[in-house]
Amino acid sequence: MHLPFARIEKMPLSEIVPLDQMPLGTRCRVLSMDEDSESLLRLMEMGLIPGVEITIERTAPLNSPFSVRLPGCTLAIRREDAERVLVRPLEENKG
Amino acid sequence: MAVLSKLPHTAGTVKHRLIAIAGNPNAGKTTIFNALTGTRQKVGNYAGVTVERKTGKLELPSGEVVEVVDLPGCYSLAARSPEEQIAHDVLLGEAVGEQRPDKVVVVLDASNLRRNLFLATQLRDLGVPLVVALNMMDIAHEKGMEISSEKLAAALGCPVVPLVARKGEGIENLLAELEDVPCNQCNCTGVPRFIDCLPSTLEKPVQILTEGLSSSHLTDAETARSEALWLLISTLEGDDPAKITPAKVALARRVLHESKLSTRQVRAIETSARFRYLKDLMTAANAVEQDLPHRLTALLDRALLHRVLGPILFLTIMAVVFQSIFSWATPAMDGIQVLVDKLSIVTNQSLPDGLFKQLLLEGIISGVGNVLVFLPQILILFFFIGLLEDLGYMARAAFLMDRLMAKAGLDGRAFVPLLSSFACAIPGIMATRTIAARKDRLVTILVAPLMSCSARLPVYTLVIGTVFSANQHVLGVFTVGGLVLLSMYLLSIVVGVTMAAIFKKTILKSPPPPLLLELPTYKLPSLKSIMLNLMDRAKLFVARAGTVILAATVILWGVMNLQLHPVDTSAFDKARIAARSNPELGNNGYEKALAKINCQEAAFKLEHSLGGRLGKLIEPVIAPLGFDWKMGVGIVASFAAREVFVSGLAVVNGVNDGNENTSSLREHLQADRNPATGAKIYTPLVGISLMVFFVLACQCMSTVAIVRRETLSWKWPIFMISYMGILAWLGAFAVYHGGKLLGFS
Ligand SMILES: Nc1nc2c(ncn2[C@@H]2O[C@H](COP(=O)(O)OP(=O)(O)OP(=O)(O)O)[C@@H](O)[C@H]2O)c(=O)[nH]1
Repeated sequence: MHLPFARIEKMPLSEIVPLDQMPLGTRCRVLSMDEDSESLLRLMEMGLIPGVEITIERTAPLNSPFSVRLPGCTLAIRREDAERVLVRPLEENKG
Repeated sequence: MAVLSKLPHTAGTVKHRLIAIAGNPNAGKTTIFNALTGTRQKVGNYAGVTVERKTGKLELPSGEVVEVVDLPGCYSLAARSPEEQIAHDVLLGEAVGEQRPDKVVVVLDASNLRRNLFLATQLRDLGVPLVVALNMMDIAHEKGMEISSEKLAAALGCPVVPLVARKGEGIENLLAELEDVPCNQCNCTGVPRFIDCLPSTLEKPVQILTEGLSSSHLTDAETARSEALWLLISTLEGDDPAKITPAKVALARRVLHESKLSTRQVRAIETSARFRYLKDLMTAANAVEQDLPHRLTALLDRALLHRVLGPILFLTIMAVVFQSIFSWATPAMDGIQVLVDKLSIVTNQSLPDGLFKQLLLEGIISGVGNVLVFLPQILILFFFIGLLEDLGYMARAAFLMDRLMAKAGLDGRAFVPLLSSFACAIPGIMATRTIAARKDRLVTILVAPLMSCSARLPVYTLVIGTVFSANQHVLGVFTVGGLVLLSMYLLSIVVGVTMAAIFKKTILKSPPPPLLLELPTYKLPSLKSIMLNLMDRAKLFVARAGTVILAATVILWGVMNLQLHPVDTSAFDKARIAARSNPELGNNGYEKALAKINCQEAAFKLEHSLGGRLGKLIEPVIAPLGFDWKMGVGIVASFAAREVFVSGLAVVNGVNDGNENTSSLREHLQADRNPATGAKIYTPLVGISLMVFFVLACQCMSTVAIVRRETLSWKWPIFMISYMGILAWLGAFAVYHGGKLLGFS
């Protein structure tokens, strides 16, 4: 919805990953998220919106929730919500 | 005359102007509220909901006295938890019985400016007269953000006051600005609002809806458009449509339908577009956000949220909290007991004998004692909760526990209330307020009294000491007593978790609420805030639950002391006379004989009191559990507080030493035999059955009182007594008969 689909389609598929699949510690950019989920809408209001750059910091002991650092704050995201957030790792991780 | 003329005409009904403090959770609202109002605060509830309402008085530099209200924190006006709903309703003048604020202070965390501006600009769009309190400037500075409040003010079009509220910096300026803001009119003019630059997908529906609504509004164009946008976001959720007229709802639905959008889509578009708009606004204010981790926080989190170390540290911290409610409160509780006893003695000496004196002594004074005795535990628990909350640790605790608690259908924030309930369910239930979702909070409240609280310990101690050789060693280091005790605690946990899961799937069915958890930076706590909060807790408990507990104590005293028919106690008087005139006894022997007669008389009176009759009345009900009528009396008496079971049992057995640790009552019980069969009454099986009954039954009127207060209805406390009563009966029945079938006795 926010990122024109044409642009998403042009990216190599391997670069678009659900947030929960990313290794801990990676920095990535949020591409899109399921807007029909109340939890994700609430997370959007807390600042997790498409376009924002985030760092996946860690997970809690039972592998959920994740803690994700945004510019300005750190949020907790449950695994089942993270599955519905698509991200792309930033170049800097590869360096 | 001159003095008189200064009095307002409407003396007695003067309405002060109202200033509301709004902002994101943790932005520092309460700190600013405390700085403004000091100790002139009042805590109450909003009409019909259990959301706390904090107000206070403030004198502006001009001498005008205004009322200040501290609103619950929220991230967006579209949010839907009860707290957030109240914040929204008050701000827009829609809350029942609440005055619309004349001015609003919106508190922003400068170190997380963009997210905090989100709410501020939503309010600005709606034409609310704003003063922006740019708080936490110290943290923003540490993070390397240099925010110019002048530029931000210019970009926002309303006054911006930089503050470090915890140190009191900037409060003076805030006061001055508050004075200057005109009441009830939008002061954010001359700058483009978000509502003026909507994305094209929203522009059309908002335009159509504004036109459709226009006839009923006298507000300016921007505000009218904002209200239309607001309506598009709020209508279809159907949570609380009562406040919006059906005509408006229908209109908004039609507009949404025509533009092929859903409420959620509008919300998502609005959110993203507003954040984009804020980026430009922040650039204009020269406030670029730094994505650097807070050093200290990153360091501490590496340990406190570590996969292995984190839970260990969490359990250690919880152990300290638990231990302190469990044992540090004891001296204070003993102190209160001593004071109450002193008061009893003084009253006893200064009043003539009679029913009134007895009522005063055993009903009212001990009732006051019953209320006050909870205060140490409540204060200690809330001190720790306040401290951990202020430090920023409570959010981490919820983070660590979320998955585990979710498996039982509970919120991550339910852990601390449930753990505290092992000391006492009263503070535990009071602490469930941090759970946002109403149904989840109810589930937690309903199972909290199943946690084996410290008032059950005397009962376990007495029963274990009576029916087992408690000190006998098994498996090397363990003793029989210790193992039995441990199994009672385990039983309470297993049943509690199971019941929570059942409630969550049946009567309190609800989807798991979204996890709205921010992990704030660690901060030094402010003792002043914690202490003010403690005073609120204490006042609330005494004023609200205290009255019910006091009344119940008096009623229970009546039940245990009043006879339906006059009973003949002349036999005891005769026995006393006989003892006095018996020369063989001597002084010492006379005292002993007299004490014995008094005990017998007390037992006789109790047997014939309403409570005694109740005990006998319920005997057929409890007989299948292996209990006799004397235990029935004890169970009736224990409704005052579980530990009263011990002293009740002592009185009804005519033992004058009602202490679970000394041998006299224990020996008496061990010797107690069924008059019909001559068999021992207190067998190990009956003992376990009795303890299981105590684990599961809700025999605590203070718990009932607090649940009534926290749920604002009698429905839930009554449900709680019933379900726990049934559970207790079934549990004890299963133990007794299962045990018998297996050949135990
Ligand atoms: N460093 C710093 N800390 C502050 C400042 N103002 C408040 N705090 C701290 O921030 C924390 C949160 O403050 P509160 O006043 O409880 O925040 P709130 O907005 O009322 O929070 P909720 O009631 O949870 O919505 C507390 O630990 C305060 O001591 C400040 O200007 N600088």
